[in-house]
Amino acid sequence: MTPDTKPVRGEITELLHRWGSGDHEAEARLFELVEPDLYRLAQYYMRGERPGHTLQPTDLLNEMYLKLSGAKDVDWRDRRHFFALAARAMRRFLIDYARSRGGQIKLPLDELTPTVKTNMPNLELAIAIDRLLDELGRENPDQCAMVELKYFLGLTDDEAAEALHLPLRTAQRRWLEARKWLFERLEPQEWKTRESDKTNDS
Amino acid sequence: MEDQRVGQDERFVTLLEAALGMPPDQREAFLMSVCGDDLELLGSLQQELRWEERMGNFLLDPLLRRQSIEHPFKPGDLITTRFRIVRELGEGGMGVIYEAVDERLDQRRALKCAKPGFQMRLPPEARAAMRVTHDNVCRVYEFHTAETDHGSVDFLCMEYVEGETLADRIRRQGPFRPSQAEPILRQLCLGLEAAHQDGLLHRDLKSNNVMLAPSRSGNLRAVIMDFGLARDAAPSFEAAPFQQS
Repeated sequence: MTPDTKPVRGEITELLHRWGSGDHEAEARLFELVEPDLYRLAQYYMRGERPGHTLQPTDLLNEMYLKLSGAKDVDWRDRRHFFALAARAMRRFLIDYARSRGGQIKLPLDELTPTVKTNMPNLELAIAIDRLLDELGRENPDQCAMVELKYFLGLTDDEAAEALHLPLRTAQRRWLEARKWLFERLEPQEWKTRESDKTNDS
Repeated sequence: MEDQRVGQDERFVTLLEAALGMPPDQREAFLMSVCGDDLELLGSLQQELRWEERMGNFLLDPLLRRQSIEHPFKPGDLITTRFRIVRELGEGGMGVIYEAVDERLDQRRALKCAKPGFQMRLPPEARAAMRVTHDNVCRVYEFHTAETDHGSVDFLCMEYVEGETLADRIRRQGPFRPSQAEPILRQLCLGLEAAHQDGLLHRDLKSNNVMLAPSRSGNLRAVIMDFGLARDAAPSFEAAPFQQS
């Protein structure tokens, strides 16, 4: 880790608080801090160097948080911010990655697990979702966060609810609403066609 | 106000989930019966069901999907500084099974790994199975957690039984003659009796769960496998738009 990317003690907590109140500078610095670990997390998912190792994203995120904050215990309020931040950063990371490759994540195909292959057609969808999410975030931050946590970070309902400190059923309802909101704004016909292509492939 | 909304979400999502778990032609009747005269709730649930049909699996497949733990270890790996993986034996309902050597005791063992969804949720029966010591029941020794670079993997360390399953044997050689079947049945009964005395039910006894191991005397030793794990292996409901881990 280079000196630039190493957080000063207590810095991450302060940054998270600033980020929570909409500070864009704090966001840039946080992204810089979490990027190396996010890259690692994304690689686990995408490349499967050791295919099938149990990966609990929340464990990795907790570990990241503890490492960056230098704290011994996780303050749940900070952790909540951190999960939301990590999901946002992962969203940006994946979208940048996909865009830089013309809408396709091209890793050596042999190394990809079949699961990831079936997710490939979703990248165009992901880019479309990303374009809409900021608008959704302005209307309803919780719905936007649910999409980031579940779709971009792959958390379960329980984990996402905990990260947002919402009751499970409320989080699930936010998720339903977010899906409907996005679905309506995308071109369902086109998307459905792609979905049926996908089924034919498999 | 806030509490009220939370209560509404709870009721709404619970009913929706229940309805989605039913065959489509029963959903309408179910919603009518549970909503009673709350026509507003009924209407919004009906609408939600139509949405679910329209959206299908839209966004349900995360961009980053968790790897299902199909194969956490590979031959040659040393697990918890003790078990050397020899080979993969197969896949059970709970996860992958490996043949390994316990290097501390110099014994062959079978390691049964838990899938992520089964982490730390071994049913009480699996723990109870550790109490059963009988020649016709596969020994379950300990429960371990291996810390790997990629997270933790829970596994059961069990007796390694060399042989073939009763199902494979029947497929290979056809039905047993009564005189051949009798000693196997007797052994199965003895194994079950021992487990039942320890208050343990198998719940899924079938020819796939019985190993036939050649013994030194030349007779076949019948070993009941997977005690109490059957319930764990029941398929979970996967079609719902919610995934509670």
